[in-house]
Amino acid sequence: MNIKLIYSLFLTYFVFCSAISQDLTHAKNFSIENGISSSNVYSIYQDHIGYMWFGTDVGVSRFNGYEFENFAHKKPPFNSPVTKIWEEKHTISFTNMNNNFYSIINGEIIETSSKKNDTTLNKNHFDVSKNEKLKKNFENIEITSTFLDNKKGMWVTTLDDGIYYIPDHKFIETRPSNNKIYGLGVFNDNITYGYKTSTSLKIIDKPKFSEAEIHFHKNKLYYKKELIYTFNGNYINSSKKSKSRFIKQNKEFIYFIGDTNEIYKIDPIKKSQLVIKDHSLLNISSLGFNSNDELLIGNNNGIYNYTQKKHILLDPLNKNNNYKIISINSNLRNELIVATKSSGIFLKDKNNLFSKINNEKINSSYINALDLDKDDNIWIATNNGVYKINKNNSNIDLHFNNQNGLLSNQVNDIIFLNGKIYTAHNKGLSIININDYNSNGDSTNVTIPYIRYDNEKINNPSNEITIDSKYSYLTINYLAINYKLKGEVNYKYKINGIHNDWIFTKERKVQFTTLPEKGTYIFEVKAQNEHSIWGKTTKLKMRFLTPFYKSWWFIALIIFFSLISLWLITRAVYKRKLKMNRLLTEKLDFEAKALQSQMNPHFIFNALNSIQSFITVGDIMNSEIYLAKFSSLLRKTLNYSNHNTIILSKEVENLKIYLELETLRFEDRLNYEIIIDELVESDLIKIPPMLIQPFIENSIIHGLTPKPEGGKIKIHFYLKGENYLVCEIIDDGVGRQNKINSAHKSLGTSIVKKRLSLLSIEVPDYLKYTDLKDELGEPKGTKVKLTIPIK
Amino acid sequence: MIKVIIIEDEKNAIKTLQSYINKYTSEISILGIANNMKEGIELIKTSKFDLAILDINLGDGTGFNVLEAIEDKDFGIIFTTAYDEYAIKAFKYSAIDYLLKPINPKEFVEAIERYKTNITNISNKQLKIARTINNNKIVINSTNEMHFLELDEILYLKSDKNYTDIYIKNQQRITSTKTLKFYEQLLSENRFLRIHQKYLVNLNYIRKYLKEDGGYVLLTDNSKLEVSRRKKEDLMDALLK
Repeated sequence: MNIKLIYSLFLTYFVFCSAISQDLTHAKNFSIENGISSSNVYSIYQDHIGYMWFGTDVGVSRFNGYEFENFAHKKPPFNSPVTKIWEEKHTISFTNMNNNFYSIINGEIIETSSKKNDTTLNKNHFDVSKNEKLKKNFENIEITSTFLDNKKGMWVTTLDDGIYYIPDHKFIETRPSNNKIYGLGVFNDNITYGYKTSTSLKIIDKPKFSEAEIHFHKNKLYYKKELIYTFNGNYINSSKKSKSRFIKQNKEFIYFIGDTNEIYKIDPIKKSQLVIKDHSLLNISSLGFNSNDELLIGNNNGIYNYTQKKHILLDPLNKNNNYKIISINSNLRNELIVATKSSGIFLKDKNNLFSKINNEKINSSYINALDLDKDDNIWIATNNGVYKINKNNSNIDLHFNNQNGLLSNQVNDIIFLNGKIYTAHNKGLSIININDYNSNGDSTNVTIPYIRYDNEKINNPSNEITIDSKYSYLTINYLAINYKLKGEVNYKYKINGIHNDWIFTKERKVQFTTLPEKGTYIFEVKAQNEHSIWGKTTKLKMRFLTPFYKSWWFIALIIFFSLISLWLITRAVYKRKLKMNRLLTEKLDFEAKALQSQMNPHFIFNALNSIQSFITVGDIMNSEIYLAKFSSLLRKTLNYSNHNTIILSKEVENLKIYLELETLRFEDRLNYEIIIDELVESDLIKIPPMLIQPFIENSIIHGLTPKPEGGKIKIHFYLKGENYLVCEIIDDGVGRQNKINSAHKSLGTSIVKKRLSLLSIEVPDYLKYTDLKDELGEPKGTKVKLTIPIK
Repeated sequence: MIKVIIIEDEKNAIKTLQSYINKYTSEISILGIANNMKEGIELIKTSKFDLAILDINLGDGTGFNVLEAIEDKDFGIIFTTAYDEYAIKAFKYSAIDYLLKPINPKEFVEAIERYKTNITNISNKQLKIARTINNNKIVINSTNEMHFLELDEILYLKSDKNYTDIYIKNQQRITSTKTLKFYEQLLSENRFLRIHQKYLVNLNYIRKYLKEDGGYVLLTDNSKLEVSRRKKEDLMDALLK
């Protein structure tokens, strides 16, 4: 065991009195400044979750270790002090001096008719007057109630002075001192400590050394200024050196006392003394031995094996290896533990190689001292308290600091003795009763008071929640109640499935601004207790619902409806196409029929007859002309029957050829006239082909043929509005009443009628017959009026 | 006496032509007859004649193939065919006429007469020029003249019943014996558009489109031509091209 002291320490030896209860070193006072609504506090209660409830003269307040939440009565006057608070079936109830009863339901104070008052004595009550220290501290304060919380913390309410909280650090005792304690030692199984004053050295000890500067080692040896003694009183040696600091004993019980630049080797049995001086000995900061009992010297530049005269590399990867060695210790297994000032701790492993303890906390700490307990666990004193490092896994098992009982975070020295860890502080001494500490019983666990979906707050959610996809963010508020930590709780959380590593925080909420689309995730959160021990994991199972538009049923529905619509559309298109096809077929059919009607056998044979007659009478030229015209008509008819539309002027040409043919046949009995209104753009207007001819033929056959003197056909084209062309066919024949052959008439014109109706459903009177009469009312011919849609 | 050659693969058609020439014309003699394209080219190359009556379908080729093989097309041409789809191409060769079979004797006589009229006014050399016509030139037959115009010279054409007035750049006006419909077809591949029953306009000379009174175009020479309602869309499309 290495004991180091700064040479100018006073050294004091102490026998601590046992069973020291709470002192006020860590007490905290809560008043209006801390958020409670009144400093006149009358009653205390701790509910099943761990919240502290306080009854004041204006209502009740709840404390969670961070802040007070005040519940005030909404109906004034409510100025009667709350004398008692209790809990029934997780509902907080309280009564006041006026004997009114209230409950807190959904955050509201509700007056209850139930007069049931828990009249049993408060088991958590303790008597301040029986505690000397407390009594002294509360001398001038009017105490209204006391309460021992579930962690043995003491709560004292006062009039006008708020609340006092005295944490229970039962396994840590503190010995405050006005002196800065720099070093610790052991003498006669008692701890000695050294401190520094500005003027003189003092020692308060059994050996009655006065004004000495001494080091002790295992009660066997001490070093006094210029002298080294064994405690059996034998004088060993005197030395002029005054800077020795390190006493180490090797396996042969030979002591080595290190000074800055030299080492005294003392054999107490032989009473021999040897001064080791070497040019390599500079700025010695620690001494030790390896398993072969070779002397190791730690200085500002690393470890030097004095026996073998060689430098030991702690960190082969790091070239400079210039670590300031604080201590060199061997454990029970003869393994070396080397502490550096600011570069962590190195362990000599099975392969006799040094390896660094891989702990960020330790690596980033300034190590002031190191000691091993009886189980070889490593205890280090740092500027941030004391860490206990598990010998098996090098994890930090415990952390002690000002929060959980140490006098201060700055720890100058540390020493293990008889199951206790003693630490030296600038403010005095702390003693950790590590045997009393039960690491399992005191864990700090996390609750989830509420979560928020967007702005929707859910109090006390069950441990499995379902999150609708309509929400855009989720806030989980968690809380660990640990009054000792004074609002400095360390949390870590992660979401299984999203985070690989824990996320460390002191915040009490986590907000997820982007929610997973679907799936189940488990939110886990833990808190550290005052000794940096992580408590139980609190889990919140979060089931994120698939947005409805991504859920299987919705997709299925969409697919279903898509298929239905597709089918409907297809069917509609198909039907429409069928209908179109039918119409088209019908149209083509009628066009074919139109061709037929135009080229009806009657006309063809009449035409051929005419040609024959020209030939018979020897009128070769007329027969040639007639034949050419006939073939021309035939050609055009055949051509245009393929077209949907024909330019009006071309159709008129065809009509002219037809009429000329008929004229040839009728000789002088047939005259015709075609009039196109000037407004009719005959070269631009398109009409269905072969529409008009049957009506002309009809007029010739039925109107004019029966008339011996023949007659005249007048065809008149004019516009009706912008979209209709009217074709009037006027004959001065015998009229429809006198028609001879009605069967033929119906053939050609009925087809045309049908075609016209196919083309223009919206024209109701696309075909109109008018019987013309003379002044005497006798038939004078027929007027056919065709209304043709034009493009 | 006008010397005629007939290139025709159908014997009956040759007979009809011979008959028509004999019966209905005078001062015309048939110099030679060829029965296919090859013979036709040979005939044209080896004989001195004035007018070729040329069938389009010749079995081993077309009448156009025959003409393509001949360099000096300094003769009159009358096409005969049973089909009417070649009409436009025929006129690009400045055919005097284009007769559909069976040939109307009246039309045949008219065609011969037209040749006779032309021949008094147009030298063979002019014919030759006419025959070298490309897509940017046009031959316009007026009552007794033949005009060779660059298409660029024509501002617009105006229908005058069965005639067409052609307005050209230098304020001149030529009256053609063809209908406007004929020119519309002839010039359909050039930048000419029928904007109205009465007008076929050279799009290159449209300066403005005026919406007033149903729509007009103003040409570079300040002529104002009405646009048919039915053609507005076509005009816009053509102008924006």
